[in-house]
Amino acid sequence: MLQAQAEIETLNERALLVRCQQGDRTSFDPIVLRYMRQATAFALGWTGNQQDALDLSQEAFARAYRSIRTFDATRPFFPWYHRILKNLCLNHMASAARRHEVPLVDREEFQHAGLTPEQHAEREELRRQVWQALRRLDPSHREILILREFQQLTYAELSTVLEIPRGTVMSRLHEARQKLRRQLEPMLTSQEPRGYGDD
Amino acid sequence: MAMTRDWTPYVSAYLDDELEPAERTAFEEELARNPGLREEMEEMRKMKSFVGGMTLRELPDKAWDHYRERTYNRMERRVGWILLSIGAMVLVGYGLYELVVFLVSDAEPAWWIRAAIGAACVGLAILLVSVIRERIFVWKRDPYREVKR
Repeated sequence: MLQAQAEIETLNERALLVRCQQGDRTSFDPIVLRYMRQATAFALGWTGNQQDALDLSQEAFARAYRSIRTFDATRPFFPWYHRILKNLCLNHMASAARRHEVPLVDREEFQHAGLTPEQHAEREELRRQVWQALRRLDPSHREILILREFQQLTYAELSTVLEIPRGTVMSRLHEARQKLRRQLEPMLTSQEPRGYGDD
Repeated sequence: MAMTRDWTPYVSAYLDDELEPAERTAFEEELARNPGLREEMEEMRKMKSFVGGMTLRELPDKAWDHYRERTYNRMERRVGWILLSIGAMVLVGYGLYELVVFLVSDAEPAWWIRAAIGAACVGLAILLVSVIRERIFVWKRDPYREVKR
């Protein structure tokens, strides 16, 4: 059922993109609405700044639309768009350092666990350290972790978006986690984070 | 000699419940006889549960109110910038041409014209040097310059 729905969506998307290529700008609306949250969340994982994330994802849509005639409408839209957005994010990161915040929060199920103010402060510090560790990873590892850990893409989706085989998804993701683990080693050995359960 | 399979990448896929049934069975059999793999899995499980409790901060609802309109504004603005740039380049080119014609003629320019030309030349030189220096600085420190775009 879900697969059938996905196929219908793909067909609709393809029809919309063909209409965009014929100059119908309104057909781009549903595409923007469909992907804007996912795109902005991805950009937030790179920039750490909400306004920058919004600007970059909008700019990527604008660029995608301008180049829509070069897009192969038989292929899925998001991986192509994702590549434009990723390049914008990389250029943004390479430019002068900008103000960024720690964009990580606890998942909803951990937010109301009756913690004391001290425990909240401790959790805030843990999130800050995880974010710093992520920022030190190389881009391909950081990218796959953002998509998997924070956007919950399946391996099949990762394979489509990153345009790599499933085996490469497995090895790259595992390498990324190993590197993140090495960065977080002092924290992982010194304390068990309170409230985070196995999922 | 038989090749030894590298089971390490399967650890993450196992924890993510992303292995095919046959892969899962084979991995579990290997796990039962490989203490190194079990240790890797425990370490990874710990790390995953640690990071798995976190997610990206959601943007407030009002951030999406005019998202589409702002995206279209960007498209239009781009057209505006292109037209403005073309117009400005034509005007600046014409201005420079007139200036050169004026300078090669025998007319003595007024002091304020000479001062303006001097200021423009010095300003341009400062900007040029500054931009080149910044580009070199950023390029040397760009951790992403090796990344395939």
